[in-house]
Amino acid sequence: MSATALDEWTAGIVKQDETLRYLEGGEDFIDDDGIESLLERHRSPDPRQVRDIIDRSLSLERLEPHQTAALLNVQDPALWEEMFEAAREVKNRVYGPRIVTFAPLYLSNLCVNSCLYCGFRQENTGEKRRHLSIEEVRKETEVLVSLGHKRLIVVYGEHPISDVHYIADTIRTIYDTKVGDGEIRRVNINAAPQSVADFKILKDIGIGTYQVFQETYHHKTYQKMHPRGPKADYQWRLYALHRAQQAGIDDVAIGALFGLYDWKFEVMGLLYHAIELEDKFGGVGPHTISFPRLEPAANVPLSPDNPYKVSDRDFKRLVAVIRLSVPYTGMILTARESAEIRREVINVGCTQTDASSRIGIGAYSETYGRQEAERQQFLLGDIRSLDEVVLELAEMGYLTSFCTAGYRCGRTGDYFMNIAKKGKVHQFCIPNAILTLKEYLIEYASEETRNVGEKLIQERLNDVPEELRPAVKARLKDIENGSRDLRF
Amino acid sequence: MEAGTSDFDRWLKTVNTNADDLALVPALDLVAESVDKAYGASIWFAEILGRRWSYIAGRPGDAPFTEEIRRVSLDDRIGLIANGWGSLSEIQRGDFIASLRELVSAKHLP
Repeated sequence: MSATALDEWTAGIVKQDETLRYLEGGEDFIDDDGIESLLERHRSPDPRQVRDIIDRSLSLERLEPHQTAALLNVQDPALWEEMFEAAREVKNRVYGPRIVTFAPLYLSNLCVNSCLYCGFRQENTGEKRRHLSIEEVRKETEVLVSLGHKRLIVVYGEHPISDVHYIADTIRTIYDTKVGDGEIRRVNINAAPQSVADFKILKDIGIGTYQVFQETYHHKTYQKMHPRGPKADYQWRLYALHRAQQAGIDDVAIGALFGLYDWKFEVMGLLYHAIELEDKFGGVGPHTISFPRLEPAANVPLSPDNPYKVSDRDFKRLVAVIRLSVPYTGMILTARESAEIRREVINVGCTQTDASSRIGIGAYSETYGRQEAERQQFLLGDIRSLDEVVLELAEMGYLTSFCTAGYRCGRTGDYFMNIAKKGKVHQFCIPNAILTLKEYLIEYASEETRNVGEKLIQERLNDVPEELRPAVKARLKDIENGSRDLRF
Repeated sequence: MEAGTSDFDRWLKTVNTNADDLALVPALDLVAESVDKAYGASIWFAEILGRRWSYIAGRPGDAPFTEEIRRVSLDDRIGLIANGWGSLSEIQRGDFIASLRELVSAKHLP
């Protein structure tokens, strides 16, 4: 593609009318000064007030911004411990002791943007640029299926080569790929903001969740970090999920890249984004919230060691506050973090994590086992195998869930949000986690993982409502006898 | 009351008449609510998008599921999901699904 054609394509991405229609009084819903002032006003929260807020979270009510601001400003370590415990309890009340597991699959690192922190930035001439062919997508998928994965997050750079039609073709390929009884049952995507018309194409191929991160909610920092390309338009990105919802995609996911600006501000931004989506789309907020921390990447101007670097201590705190602020929303902890951090933070409210992750283009089928900075967006902190992660989670008492039942039986959008807000998700999640873990243990697990996992399943059967337990036990027998993909 | 007409037939006719003038989603909401009240059947509806069945109408209640979820395609766009058929017999279930197929074929997705 010529430089002129590329420029023309890039210039045609942002459609102002598809942003302006959502503004109120010409303003978007992130009021930077308002957030800073709220954080300032609640700089020294009274412990009694904090405990009242914790009680509200435990009753599974979403917090108001001033309450989240108060939690973010707690100083007393003992009070933080109470908040960590409450965050863990909230997660267990809504979802039960299960962690949904997925793998990331990067299909293209061509990108027209210039994000100062990202290895895919257009100016990075050291990056080996590539997009996978349909046959290569099939090979990558086969490796992931062979490991036991059932759920993917597929990631694309913003470029005409990886436009909405490429996204649609590759997702169809992933869904069509089978290895024995194994297959990917749910494909979520992380891709650049689309127009409403292009989101309709994604809706029609049956994606799971559409995910896009604002990176930073702070307007000035956003402009500094994204100097060129379609991503330079803050509001085009901020309202991407409005357009996705308008196009009929009812499972959408938000996130912020922690380390670009003050972490407390970003938590507030995430909360305002969740509130905005709930207000505008009949109570349907984000399906999940992600909170990646900035990691080192090759040939980028911005180092993670900048003034806004988030310490491990603050990282745990921000995850707990997000959990308490939006009690019913899924929360994704990724392999950006080291195994040690993941062990610590998963306990304060996370619901999903990835395993066996590789983020180089073609890395699963070609270079499995190592990382290559020149074809990755950033460097991962944890590249343990799926089997190791399943084993560790089981030893911590968590069922690894490969469940994808919800979106295949209409428990999406409004329906999902309704049962999540009532704290009823675990009624489906625990039985389905048990059934899918059983399938994994039989088909893919090492002997050690199988032994620990089987013991955990027996223990966790006690968490299943009594009236449902005989049906779950019967299906476990069916799986032992060769049935697959059973679900409630 | 017509001779030889069962309670079920009368119920089905009334529901269809009430749903006739409604758009697709409210019509399906009405059917789901009515079959739950009359027969204890818990159903909801989804738009079929490949592997994804995306919720559009109905409400299944909060009780944990004791049966495997059943999916029935009403046409190539709309599916019914049942979490238990309550007291509907197999024949009544067939008639009910047939009438739903007629209902959705006459209406457009929003």
